[in-house]
Amino acid sequence: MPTPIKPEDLVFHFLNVGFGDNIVVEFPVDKAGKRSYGIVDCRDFRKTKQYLDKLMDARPGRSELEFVCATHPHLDHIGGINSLLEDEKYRVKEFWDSGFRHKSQTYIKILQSLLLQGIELIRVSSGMEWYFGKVQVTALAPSIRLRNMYATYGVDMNNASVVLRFEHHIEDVISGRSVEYTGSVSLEAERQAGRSVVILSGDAEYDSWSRITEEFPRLERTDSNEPLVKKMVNYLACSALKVAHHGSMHSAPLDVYEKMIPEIAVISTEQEKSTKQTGGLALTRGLFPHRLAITALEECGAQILTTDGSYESENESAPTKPGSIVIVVPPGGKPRWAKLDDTITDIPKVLDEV
Amino acid sequence: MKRKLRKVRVRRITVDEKLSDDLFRFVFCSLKEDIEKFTDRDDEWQEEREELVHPKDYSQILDVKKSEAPAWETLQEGQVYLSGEFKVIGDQTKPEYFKVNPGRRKFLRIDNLDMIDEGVKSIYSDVLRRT
Repeated sequence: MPTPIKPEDLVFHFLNVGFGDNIVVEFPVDKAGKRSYGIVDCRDFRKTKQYLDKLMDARPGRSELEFVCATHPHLDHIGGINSLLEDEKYRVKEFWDSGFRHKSQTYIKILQSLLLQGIELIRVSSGMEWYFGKVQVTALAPSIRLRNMYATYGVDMNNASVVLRFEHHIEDVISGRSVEYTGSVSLEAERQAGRSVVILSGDAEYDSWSRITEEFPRLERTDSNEPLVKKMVNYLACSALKVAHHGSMHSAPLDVYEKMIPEIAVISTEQEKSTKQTGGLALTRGLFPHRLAITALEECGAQILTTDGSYESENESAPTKPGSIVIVVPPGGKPRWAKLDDTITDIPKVLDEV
Repeated sequence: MKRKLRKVRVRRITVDEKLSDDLFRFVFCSLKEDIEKFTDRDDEWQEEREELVHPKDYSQILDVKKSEAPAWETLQEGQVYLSGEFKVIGDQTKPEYFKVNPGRRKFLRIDNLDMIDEGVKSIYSDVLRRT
């Protein structure tokens, strides 16, 4: 049964732009009764702008965007950003960047626009935090170690991805009480820890996830009752996950999905079939999503939603149509979702209930 | 589909993303028509477009003969190539600038040249300094 979107809800809009990421984050209303917005990746400027226009009509918000985040500088994540930075209606307060300096002209033009517009550039690294009312945004990646390696060796662009964790607290973040667990930790307790958490993982791959799991460990109470482990928080537990790298076989190891245990897994994609010869066999498979990622997510009990509808069609799981995906996170509450019926070129309607 | 690339005088091609063993995304742009001398500034190039390429057809988008194309296995994200009717002015490894050279084709990897590498670093530093 659809429920109206309330002013205090945090809303994520994963726009269907084909193979690429284009996410509008709609923050809860502030004291003036206005919403504010952030953009995480923008492949398609036209769709982003026209959708924002509709969103502002439906729910009054500030046209100055809190941030535009380029998780990493591949074209399918930044193709529309320069136009967004130059747009006269939607001014941008901050540009969040992975710090990976790509040499494509698309990325260079973004840098030039930042210079011309005087937009602040934030080089994101793990541990950085921002607060938008009761919404706490934490950067899980890139780790400092990875970031320091960009200019030397060993880090590819996907592993440079900015990974963001959004938690919508029920009370003010600073005065919030930590949950203290005793004895063994149940799956239900872990799910509760990630109840109002959404993770947007860019195109992070193994190198990035290995740092994330090292830097944001799951702490459990021990018999020794050491103060540091009294508070058990599985920081990676989440209710909703934007699956990394369009659900490719490198999107994340099973162990990471087991730590996140997402109930909803969003894959922004346009399936690409590929055949390769291996071991004397012609191996034909979908790459985005790849069955390795799908199996891992299914094992963890996630409901998989794809913007191109490919997974749902193959598995006869509704809704089979392609379309943008909306996730609503009430403060401290469990997310709910809806899928829109737009094609890549359509501008979807804005829902007032999900 | 047969690609028609020869009308463009100079093309800048970036290896954007390796999507699988046999699939890359290239992004490419053409030199603006009124430009004769160029140093890879952003205002010298038209908008970038993308193309998914496979081992069998990538030399076409690079606009070189198969024998002149870099081996598929050596392609890496971040490599940038110039392809078309141009020549290098100055030292081949430290060019002063490039110049359109009608009728004479050349293919050159440029991401490892100081002009390109230092150029991106310099803009990035400028943005950080300004903010």
